[in-house]
Amino acid sequence: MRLLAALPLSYAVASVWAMALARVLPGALAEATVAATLIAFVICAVAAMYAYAARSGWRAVWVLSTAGMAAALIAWLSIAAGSRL
Amino acid sequence: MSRSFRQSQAGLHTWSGLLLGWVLFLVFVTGTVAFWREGMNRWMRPELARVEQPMQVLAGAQRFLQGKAPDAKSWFIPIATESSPGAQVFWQPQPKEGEAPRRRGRRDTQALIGADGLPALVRETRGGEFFYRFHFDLHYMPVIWARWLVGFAAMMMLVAILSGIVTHKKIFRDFFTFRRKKGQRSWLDGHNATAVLALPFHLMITYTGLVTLMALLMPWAVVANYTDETKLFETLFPQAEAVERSGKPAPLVDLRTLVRDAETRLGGTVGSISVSEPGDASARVTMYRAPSSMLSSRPPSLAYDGVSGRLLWQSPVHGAASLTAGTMIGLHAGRYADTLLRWIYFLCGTAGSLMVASGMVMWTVKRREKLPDPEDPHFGFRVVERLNVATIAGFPLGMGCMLWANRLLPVGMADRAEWEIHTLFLAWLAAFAVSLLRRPAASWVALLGATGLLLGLLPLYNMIATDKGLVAALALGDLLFVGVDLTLLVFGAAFLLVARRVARFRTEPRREGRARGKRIAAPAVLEPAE
Amino acid sequence: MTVLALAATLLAFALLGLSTDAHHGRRFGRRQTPERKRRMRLAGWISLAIALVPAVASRGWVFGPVLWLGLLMLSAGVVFLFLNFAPAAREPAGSGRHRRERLSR
Repeated sequence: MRLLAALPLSYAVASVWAMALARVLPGALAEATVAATLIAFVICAVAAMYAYAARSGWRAVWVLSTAGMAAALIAWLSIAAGSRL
Repeated sequence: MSRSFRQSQAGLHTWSGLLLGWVLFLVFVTGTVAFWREGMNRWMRPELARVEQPMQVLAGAQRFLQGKAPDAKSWFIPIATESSPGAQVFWQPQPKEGEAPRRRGRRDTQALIGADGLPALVRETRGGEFFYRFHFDLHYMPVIWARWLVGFAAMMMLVAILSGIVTHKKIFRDFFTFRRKKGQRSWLDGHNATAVLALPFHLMITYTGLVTLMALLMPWAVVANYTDETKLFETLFPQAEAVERSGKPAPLVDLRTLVRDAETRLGGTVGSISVSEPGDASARVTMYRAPSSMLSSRPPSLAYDGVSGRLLWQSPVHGAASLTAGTMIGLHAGRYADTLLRWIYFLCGTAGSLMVASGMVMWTVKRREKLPDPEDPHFGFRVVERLNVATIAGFPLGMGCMLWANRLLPVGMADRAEWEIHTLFLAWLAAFAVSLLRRPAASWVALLGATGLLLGLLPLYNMIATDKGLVAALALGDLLFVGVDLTLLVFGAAFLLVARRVARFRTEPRREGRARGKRIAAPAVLEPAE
Repeated sequence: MTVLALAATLLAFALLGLSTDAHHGRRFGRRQTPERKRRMRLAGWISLAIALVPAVASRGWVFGPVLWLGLLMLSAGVVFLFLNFAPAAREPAGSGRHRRERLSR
């Protein structure tokens, strides 16, 4: 369970945050894109660490999924709105 | 909280390390060697003279290409340096109708220009390039798969480092401590020492390693912002506009004068030159600053008119994030590093390899004591134990064999460069077979000892068979050959010492009891990985 | 300048290493006072910080800190090997060969 949370899920969370950050970070388009990617690797590592630190495997999955959803929402809103924040 | 958090991270540390430890070991070892990529390129071609006048090589390269590929689509000429074997030039023929554009670097469209400015006729070898490519492309498998595997391993490594720091907070306090001859404690101390001593390096190299592969591993930020990702690359890696061949022949300017001009404008040495449509009135020359002269791996460039030598275009300044990424990749590759820093990189890489290796061995050392019957361990334990032998002792053996093959394979042999590499993998396969057939205690000694002999004897062979042996190279003042041979001697001796130590250790009665094993918290989670 | 920086980092790690109880006892043959320990520690950290000055002076602000970090790791390694493998007055020398020897080049 934790392994599932640690591996695919933490990568997924990092990915959606990369998308969300790429949309909302200030600065030029290319700059924000690169910065979001750099930060995403840190998110991925921290998420994997959390997956093992959480009280239970289910809790890890639940929290990480919520974090991912939040980012997905930001990314989706921003893309739907069409312009960068 | 903090205690259980630490314990949870211990489990993560163990499993993230074990899962990809073997890949990490290969990546670490070849990456460490690859810090001497240029140097190995030269060392593996001992018949070449040392480059003393790079501009003479450049003039020779231009002369050669004008004779060989006067109407090519483009030329690529690196500037030779004292540590490189010469200038490895490439050219790209004009694309034919209905034919896909050819990849750069095919053997029939490249040549090595030696110190005297003439194409060098030397043994065919990949040289240090092999270690560089293997470091992220592995071998015998599609490049994309390999990069995903290596990237995944790097991610695991980052997790392992971070969780390792959390798990072993004490490592900083006792990091000068090394308890010798204490079985598991010694392994733990050794693992900690190699980890903590070079911790800044490990963190840097792992994170920046991910950054080098970021376009592949983490494309999602790009997806969110761009419908066409080539747009991003145009912004990040700006190029002067492509030129069309006009059909009017015109002589190409002397590249040496352009290099001098570019070096004053760029504020650093020029590292490589590309020429589009040489010999045509529309010819265009682009000069790239050498990565050895700057930290960032994204060098600024200048484009000149290839006929008049007039400056046409200058690459724009990078933004902060792009500069950060470029700097990270630069830090990772260490191309900027002078000899002292290069050695530090190399030593840190060695420490990293030892860290991975000792971590893998520790997994078995720790568990052996808890086995119900140490003489008859369960299947998973045996797999790990034998894969450890096959990888940690076997891969260096393969590398030793490859270096010997570089010296021994006949010069005129067909596909010689490939066979050097096949030798590595054949030897590794043999080591794998040995580790399956013999008991680990015996195969450790045999493989480590053989590696030690191979590495240690190679400098002696160089002294007899080449004119760049230790003594001769020292007399010539060619420190690169002296350095590589001495390093081989030291590593050979170290492998032999370790082999002897392992051989002795196994005959000693096991002293540490179960009590000591209990002090390290058992990993909390075993099920998912089994 | 580089040599100066290296000397400072070496000194720093020697001080820090010798301020640990185990090594202090082994090298000086007696237990250290807490006061002395604190002073050695402090001197070590100060020496580390000072090493940054010649490093930056010789390589500038971009490469200086990189060099400093590199020298830091190098001298930590040297001191580590010296403290643990060089024969001490109170211990039989040179018997414990170990994997780590590969580092000792």
